[in-house]
Amino acid sequence: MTKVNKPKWEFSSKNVIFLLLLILLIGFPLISSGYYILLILIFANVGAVYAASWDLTAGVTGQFSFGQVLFFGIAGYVSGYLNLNYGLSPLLTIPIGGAMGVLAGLIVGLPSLRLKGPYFMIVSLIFPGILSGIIFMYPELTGGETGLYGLSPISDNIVITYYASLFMMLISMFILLKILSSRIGLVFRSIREDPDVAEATGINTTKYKLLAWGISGLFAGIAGGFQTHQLMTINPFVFGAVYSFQAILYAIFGGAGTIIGSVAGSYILTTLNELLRYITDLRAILYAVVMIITFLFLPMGIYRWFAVKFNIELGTWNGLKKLRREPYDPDS
Amino acid sequence: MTPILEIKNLNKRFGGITAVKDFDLQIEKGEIVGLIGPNGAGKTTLFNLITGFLKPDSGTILFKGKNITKLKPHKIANMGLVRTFQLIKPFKRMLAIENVAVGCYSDRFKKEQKADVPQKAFNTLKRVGINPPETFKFASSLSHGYSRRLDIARALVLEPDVLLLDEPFGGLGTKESKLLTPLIKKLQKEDDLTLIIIEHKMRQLMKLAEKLVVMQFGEKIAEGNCKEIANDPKVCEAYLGRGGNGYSS
Amino acid sequence: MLIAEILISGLILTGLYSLLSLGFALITGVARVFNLAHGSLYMLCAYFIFYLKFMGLGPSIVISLILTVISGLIIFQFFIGPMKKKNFGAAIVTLSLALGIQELVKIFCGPQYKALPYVVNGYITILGVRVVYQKLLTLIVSLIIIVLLELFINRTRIGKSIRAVAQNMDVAKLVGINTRNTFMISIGISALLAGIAAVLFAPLNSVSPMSWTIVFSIFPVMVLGGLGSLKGALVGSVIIAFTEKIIEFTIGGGYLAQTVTFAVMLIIILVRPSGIFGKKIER
Repeated sequence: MTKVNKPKWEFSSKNVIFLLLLILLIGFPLISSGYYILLILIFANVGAVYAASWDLTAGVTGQFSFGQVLFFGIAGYVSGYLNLNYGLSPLLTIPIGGAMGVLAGLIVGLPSLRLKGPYFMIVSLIFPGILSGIIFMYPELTGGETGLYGLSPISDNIVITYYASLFMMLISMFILLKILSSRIGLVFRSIREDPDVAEATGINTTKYKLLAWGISGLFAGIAGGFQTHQLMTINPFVFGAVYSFQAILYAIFGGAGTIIGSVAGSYILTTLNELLRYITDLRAILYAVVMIITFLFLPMGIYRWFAVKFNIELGTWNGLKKLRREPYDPDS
Repeated sequence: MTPILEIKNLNKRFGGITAVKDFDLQIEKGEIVGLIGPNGAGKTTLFNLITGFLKPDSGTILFKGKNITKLKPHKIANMGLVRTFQLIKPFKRMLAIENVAVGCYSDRFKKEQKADVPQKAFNTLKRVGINPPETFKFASSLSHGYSRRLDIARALVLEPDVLLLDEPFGGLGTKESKLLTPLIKKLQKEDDLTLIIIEHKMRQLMKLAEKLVVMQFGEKIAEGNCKEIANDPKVCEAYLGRGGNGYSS
Repeated sequence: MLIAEILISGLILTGLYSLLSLGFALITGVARVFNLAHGSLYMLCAYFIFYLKFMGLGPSIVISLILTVISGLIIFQFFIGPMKKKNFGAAIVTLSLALGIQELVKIFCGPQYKALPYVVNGYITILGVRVVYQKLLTLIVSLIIIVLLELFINRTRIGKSIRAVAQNMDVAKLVGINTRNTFMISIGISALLAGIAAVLFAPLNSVSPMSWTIVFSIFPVMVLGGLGSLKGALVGSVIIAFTEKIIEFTIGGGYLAQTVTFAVMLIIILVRPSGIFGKKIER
């Protein structure tokens, strides 16, 4: 079998676009020092990680839930609590929040194994409400309605905070995309397509579903911890409809199952949302309208639509690369 | 020699309907057995019970001497007892080769064996007659004939000892069916497989099966070689109703 | 007397829950989707009645009901119908719709509660409890509607086709039932029931842009009775309504009562998800 020497990195249109965008994002603060724009981008980065975390369980592994906000909120509260009462710096509290997110993810994942679709949906719909109720019941711990405030910021300098959020987003995307294209991603997708057949193919679906929930919880938790410190506060309204919807909306709008679509979805919708900030009521209507339009007219999401239109290859299993680099010998 | 698959006194009811009743069966290694019977006889239910998708109400299933009655489907598949499904169920939004690759990562294989999965998946597809460009096509865009072969490839990649094929010729035209039979024969010989095949297309099944088991209303009503079964009055009655005696295949 | 109070308020709540859950169960059973905007139909009908007050009671009620049915059909035709992933997609879209409608109502009608006029005024004292005639009327009419619905579902041909489609859609198509029409009729009836619920009960509770969340209150009813089951919806309504009222009047607090019923719902989902009359779920 002849080995063809292909370079490790190709000048495909997809890679060029990504590189340009990356340069743009990194160099942005050097061009413009607008406080407000940097703030929007920070929210966009947090939103991207949050949405991508939902995409992993729902878009990639087929486990749909309304409960993503549980991981986001619980991690946020844990981070805030540790910071407020023990003075731990965000550098510590955010990862710990992420760890709490993993735990929460596993706890939510367990019932999803036993419950059939509509029932799990009901439970995931109701649970955030129950959780915020619990938060109201213990105001000494959780600050009740006003929540926890006066927390340490990520940094006093908005530019540094921006780079921190960008760093978090890039690392998260890198890890999640690596997972998506790995054997784990392959198995996840098979579970999404047909969990019974996946079982018949020797896959321990329970193990992999819980794995998906755990990873999802981790990233949602990190996003939650980051946002808590960035806003320097957290309150029970984080478990409300807005954040519950946000992850789902950003991920589906961007492109469910692609992970990277969440970035596009988050950036576009966060900007849109901020532009309409003049009337705060409009946020809920905006989400509702975009959600409905997306589901009816663009269910594949922005990123996938874009990729199909411009013939960009959607990333799949990394095993394919191996086969293509060493072309098959038709005579063997 | 202990049979590779032993089913003892298997029973399954759904509410008021008895799907499988007092079912006994022994399969020796290397046998090719055809499982036939009118629709609704309980054949697929039997497969579901054997492979862990349904729990029997009573009875035992022994595979290679081990009791697999209460095991989960993936554990049974990883022990070497693999099935296909009656309706083709590809992983639609994944490529054909990805479909096959999934099984390569199951717990059946150790870490070292998982080193060259892409090549293994590629080769398995070749064995069932799927070559590029179909190899790299989405499973949903494959023709029905190729889809059936993909199902078999997915099962083969687990290196099974016993393979349960549920209507492998389902939906295939005459020509495609004629091509599939020698493939199944070849694979069975190469891998020393034990096969249980549910099928309605008698002509093809007779070319493959050495032994036939007939089910009706959840019970086994006959077992024997093709000639015995064809002349068995109970079987004729099951398919053709009373007065159908005298018809042989 | 405490028992009389519990009895009366329990019956009233049962009536409300029955009408809403019967409508919800109808769609769940026939179209196999969760219409989370069902509560919005209830709310819209109440708002219609409020703004059409000037027409007089009778006409305003009739027109509001017609508008509500039209709204239900629109929701189904344009928002649920085209969905590919029926289960999750419909849930999200109807939820978005409900939120969107909530915001629109807030903007156009203001966030305050609106009070609807009673049909009859005055009260009567039963067993030491003051019962307004409106409540009695509500009870009687609810009962009549439920009986009519039962007759319709079980004795008419259309009702039979509804039951058939709910049991097995493919076979229903095979025997020549026009499933599309059956869907439409079910949606229409479902919306009508939500509207009637508004006509009867909204005057007792007044209405606000958040009123659509009542759909969540009937989740425990549906789970207890069995998703998609009409009998279950009735039985579940009785049990849940009385449980809530008993807790509310004895231990105290409407909040606690709802928390308890939700906890009960979670337990049922874990132990016996099919509820009382639902389909048994294997594996």
